[in-house]
Amino acid sequence: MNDDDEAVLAGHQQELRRGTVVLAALAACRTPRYGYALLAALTAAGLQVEANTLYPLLRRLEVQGLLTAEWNTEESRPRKYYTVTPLGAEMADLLRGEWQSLNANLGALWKEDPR
Amino acid sequence: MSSLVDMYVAQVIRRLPENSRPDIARELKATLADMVEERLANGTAGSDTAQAAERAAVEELGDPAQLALQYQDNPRYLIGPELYPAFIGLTKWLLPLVVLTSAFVNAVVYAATASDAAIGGMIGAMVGNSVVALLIATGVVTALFAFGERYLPEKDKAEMTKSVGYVDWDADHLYEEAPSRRIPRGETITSIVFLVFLAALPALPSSFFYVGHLNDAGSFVNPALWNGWIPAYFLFVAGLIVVEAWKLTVGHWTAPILLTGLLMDVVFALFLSLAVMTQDILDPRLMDSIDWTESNWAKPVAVGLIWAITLWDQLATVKNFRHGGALDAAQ
Repeated sequence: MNDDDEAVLAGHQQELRRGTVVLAALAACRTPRYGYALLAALTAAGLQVEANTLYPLLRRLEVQGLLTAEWNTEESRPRKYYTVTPLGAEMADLLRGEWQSLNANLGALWKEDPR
Repeated sequence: MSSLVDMYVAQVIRRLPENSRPDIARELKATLADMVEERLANGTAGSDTAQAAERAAVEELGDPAQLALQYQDNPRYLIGPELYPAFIGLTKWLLPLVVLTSAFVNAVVYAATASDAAIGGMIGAMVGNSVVALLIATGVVTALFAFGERYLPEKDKAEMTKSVGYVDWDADHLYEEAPSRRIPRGETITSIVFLVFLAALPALPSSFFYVGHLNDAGSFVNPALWNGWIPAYFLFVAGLIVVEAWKLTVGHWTAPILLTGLLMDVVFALFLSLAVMTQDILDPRLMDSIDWTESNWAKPVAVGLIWAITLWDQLATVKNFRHGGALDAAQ
């Protein structure tokens, strides 16, 4: 693949991944998490997320009411913990259902192609 | 001395709205502290000292300006996909209208106020001011839409997209276009402009074309012709303009339009030929100063030219008529 094709592939890959970060964040925040730990958890799960995308995203989800945030001052370093709200959990379930049906449909499509 | 982290956070939050600054600053500092701590604890390559670890951490987050942009909800474009069709639809007719109006108004003002009206000066006034008018119009429309992109409520934006017809389209709209034998509007408008100019020709003083000294800034046309020939000329040109206006309102070719147009062209050519053959068209004073005696070939050549142009125009018109229907047949 030459450079132009690589760029095209990168573009498609980004589109493919872009939607899944939201779902991943909502899923992970079923237990309260703070920014850095969440990033580590997602990376450990194998998802490619950039720090400068994730932290603003958490704020946006908070504004949309899908996450609620609380400052925990008990530990040595105060940290902002994000937890998924009931609305967020509901949306996460719906998104997950969407994800699974997409997966099944693509799988069926792939099977059709005898290769 | 403030640490790299402090400097970094300061540069991010100064680009953010005041009320969100304390919270984001606090969170960013905590996150960066976590990142530094992990790098030092794991002995990540290149992070052996606190300084180096801080450096690596802020570089991982990247340009503070970019990070600040991510935190803001401001769209990173001037006009978004919902408003863009309306924007394009508006500018498509508004900007040409602005240019034409400006050109016309400037021409009229120049003709009325210039002490030494000449075509160079008129063109200069028209072009100069029209370019400025175009730029201003473009800027104003773009600014209005950019403002709307940021402050218009979502459902109003959806309304605007609908009004351009993208969302609300159904098959009935196909009947609106009436594609058969369409006459492009631009063509007829250009013809009308040209005909108006033709009509104005006898009235233009020769000083307009820099040869005013030859005949005291009189018209190019022989003044004796004003008795009957020039009024008749005006009538013919008016008739041609009426035909063009008819084309404009109907919008597509019909047999009556075609035949009337062809007929008028032929009659006009006959009239012009007659005028050229029997009259002295040009102002005799012009002829005297140039010291050119009309030899025998001038008039027949002129008549030949008239008919050549008329014939060419007729052929083009008929071709338009026949090809205008070509889009109908599925090819």
